[in-house]
Amino acid sequence: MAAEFQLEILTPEKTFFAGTAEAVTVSAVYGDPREHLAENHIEDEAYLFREDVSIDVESAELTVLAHHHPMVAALAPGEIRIKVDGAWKTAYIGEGFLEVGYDNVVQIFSHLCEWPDAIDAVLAAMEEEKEQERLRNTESLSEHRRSEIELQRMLDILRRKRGNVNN
Amino acid sequence: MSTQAEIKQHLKAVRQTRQITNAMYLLSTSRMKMAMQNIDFNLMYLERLRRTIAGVVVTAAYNDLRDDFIVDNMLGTAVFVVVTSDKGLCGGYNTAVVDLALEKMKEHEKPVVISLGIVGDRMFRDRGVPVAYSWFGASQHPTLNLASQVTSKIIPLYLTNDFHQIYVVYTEYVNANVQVPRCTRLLPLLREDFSDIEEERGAANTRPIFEPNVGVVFDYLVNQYCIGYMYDVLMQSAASENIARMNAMQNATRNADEMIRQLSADLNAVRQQQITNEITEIAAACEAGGLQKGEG
Repeated sequence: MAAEFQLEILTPEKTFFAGTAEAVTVSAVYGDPREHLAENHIEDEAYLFREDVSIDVESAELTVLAHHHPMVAALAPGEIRIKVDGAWKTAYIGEGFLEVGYDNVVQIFSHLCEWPDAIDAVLAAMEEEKEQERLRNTESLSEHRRSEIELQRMLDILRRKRGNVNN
Repeated sequence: MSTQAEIKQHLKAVRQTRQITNAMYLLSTSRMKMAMQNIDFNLMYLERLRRTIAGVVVTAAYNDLRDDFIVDNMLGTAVFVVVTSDKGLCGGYNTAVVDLALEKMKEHEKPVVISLGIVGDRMFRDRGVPVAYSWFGASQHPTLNLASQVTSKIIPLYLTNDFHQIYVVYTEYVNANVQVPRCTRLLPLLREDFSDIEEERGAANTRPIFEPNVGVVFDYLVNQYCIGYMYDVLMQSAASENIARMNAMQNATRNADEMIRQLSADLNAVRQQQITNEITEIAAACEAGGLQKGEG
């Protein structure tokens, strides 16, 4: 029986995993993404955080076992493998980070983490949501404009009516 | 006094309006419950994140944190991210947020406004405040995905130009009866923000390893923190908005009920009056025609 540690994987919506594990393998960010900027002579640091730009972050596999020295690591999006009772489980994780605490506890935070059978559905839902969002934006905007025009028209009628009374 | 037809018309209109306000009341009740689903869990998540960030801030050597995200004193232009609703009919909800934002903006030179929500956007424009960027549809249905989209817009803004302070103005959901407009600082983080956690951590002096280095780790931490924070803000605002709408619609329904009662009474009175008039007329006509009761 291999030594175990407490593993917790959290997203803002749910606890994805909580329990004991023997090992966890993630793809950790390797190298400094900001060097990428220097290499390509980009002076704008905000470039790294823009949604429309995807930089191939160099990543390397990182496996954490029990009683690891305290560590904080940045995670690149990719696979995460958890070893529970001698068997490996695979899941997918978005950007995030891993923290090894002082008391044999490992916490992983990310805004997205799903099992393989759910990831397609989740990604599809995200795409759909984006599409709906776009639709909703245009819809609610045009709706807004329409009602604004309607309001002006009504106010105009009112004004004319009032005018008649006063004349 | 109005005629029967007029009162009936009025009554019909009020009944229809009441139906709408009642339906909106029920709808906002269920929307509020939806918006509140994740608030508690996300708060716990944020608190955990804050602890981790504090751990990094405390243990990393002062100069290692070359980061733009954590500073000692704030300089530069302020950005105000104001969360309002996309639709009206929710009482003073939007006015309260916008008023607070305008008040806070007085403390800064040339503040910039980013509006999440159509109503806020309009209110700022009406008051002659230019809105730098407007996001529609965000506050209706808060999702995590949306929160990360908003974050990926705000962080580049923070890093470019001279926008070195980002404030979020939103409505905090305290409980079902109390919702207060709040203005909080999202970025930059200050060292003193973490002083409460610092003391607890003092005992554990072991320096953690940072992979690949403190700067990168901190970038990732702050990004996750902002996503969580925006998610929280969007959810709290949505919950508060729907509660405000719930109350407004409940009042409207109550007023409609009152009006319906009044109008029904009026209608009965008018009808009674009319019947009385008719009887009087018939009686008068009989009298004039010499047909007296009992004479047959």
